[in-house]
Amino acid sequence: MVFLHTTDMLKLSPLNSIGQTSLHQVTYLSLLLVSTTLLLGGCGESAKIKLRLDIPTPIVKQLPVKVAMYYPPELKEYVHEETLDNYGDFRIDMTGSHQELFDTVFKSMFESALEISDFSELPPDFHGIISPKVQEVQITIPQQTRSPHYEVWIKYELVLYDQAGNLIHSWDLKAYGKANRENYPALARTSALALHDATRFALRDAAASMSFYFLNNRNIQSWIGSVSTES
Amino acid sequence: MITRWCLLLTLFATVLLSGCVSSTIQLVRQAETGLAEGQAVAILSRATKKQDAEAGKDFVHCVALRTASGNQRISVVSEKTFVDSMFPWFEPRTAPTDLADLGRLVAQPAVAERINQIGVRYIVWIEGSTKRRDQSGTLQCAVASGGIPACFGFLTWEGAAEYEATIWDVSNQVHAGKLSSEATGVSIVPAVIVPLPFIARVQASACTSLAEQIQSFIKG
Repeated sequence: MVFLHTTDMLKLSPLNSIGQTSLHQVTYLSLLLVSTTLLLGGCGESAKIKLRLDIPTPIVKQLPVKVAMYYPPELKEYVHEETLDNYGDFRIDMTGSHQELFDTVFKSMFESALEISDFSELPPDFHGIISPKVQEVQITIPQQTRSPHYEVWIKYELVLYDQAGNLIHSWDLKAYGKANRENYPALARTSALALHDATRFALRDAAASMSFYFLNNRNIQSWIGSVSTES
Repeated sequence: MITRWCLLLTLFATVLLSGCVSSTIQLVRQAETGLAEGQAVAILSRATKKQDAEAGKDFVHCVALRTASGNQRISVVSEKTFVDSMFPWFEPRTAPTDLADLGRLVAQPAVAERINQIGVRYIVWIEGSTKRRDQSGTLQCAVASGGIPACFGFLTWEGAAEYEATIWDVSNQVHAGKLSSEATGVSIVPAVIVPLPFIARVQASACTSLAEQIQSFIKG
């Protein structure tokens, strides 16, 4: 335990007889101001971040289907804002990140993938439309969980339609990312950096899950089977 | 004369300011090893369910750097480069947990081709942590009325770095062996006006000894 006794710091000399502040008084006031700022800064961990994403191209076997992607505007411009009681306000701006994530994954997974801004724009030789949306985002910080990790959970809903607009399958995709605060320098803006990385890891996890588990569903398997037979 | 005194003082301070660290290394070899021209080692942190055992990124980075340097240096692919190149097969949720998983993974032509491209022959999984224990004492600092800051007291703790490296031979899909490195040391901070930290750098010691062991183990 390290204690900083500040009582002596308060024993400031009064203004001297000619009404000027002494050098010591200025030093003490500065020290007091710095200490107070540091102490108050430690009470809340508020962070505002803009997500910068780097999703590598997945190594996956390409499926013989042509799929259009429809990204709703709220997915493209998703911003998560949350107030954690006693810990401050958190804002994670994910504008553009989800689009980049799903573009990267779908373009690796499907023979052909194209973004459309409306369902009516589906090219005639395409076999279906896939549309993701964010359902929920949750964050926790070490002070809440008594672990060294900043954690981010994201729940997406994905919906797959066939060429005629009939629902093939809709499913939840859950992603998780964590960042250990001990991996960041002591004087860095740890909460912002760690939350940024935890969010980035969550999006990587979403990409990994999507690549891995897409073919696990029977409706999707039979749809791909029927499309392959038609071709 | 003054220069000699300065040198002696610096040497004395350096010896004093780093606390004593004792290291223990254990090695289990299960297969012959060796690196051909163009082959490399990937050193990765194992993300386990047991959070305490997840090696810090800085430790893994330190081991990778030291393994790739010195007289016995071997070619190392950084964790980020390897994990990105193999995406999404070495993410926390999808990474192979045993050799059977690895076998299924490298049976995929695209994955095998990528591993060949980056030239990784061995994967070294690192688990472990550095902890403080038996911390005692207090240290109090105050700023006196005259404006002079002063600290008084005594702090002490024991640092323990315990890490384990499991080595997989990717080409032959076998466990090549296991290395463990333990470093312990007592740090003390006495303070009479000025605090004098005598810090036992246990993590740095564990990193150096583990890296040296990886080098000699891989070279066979």
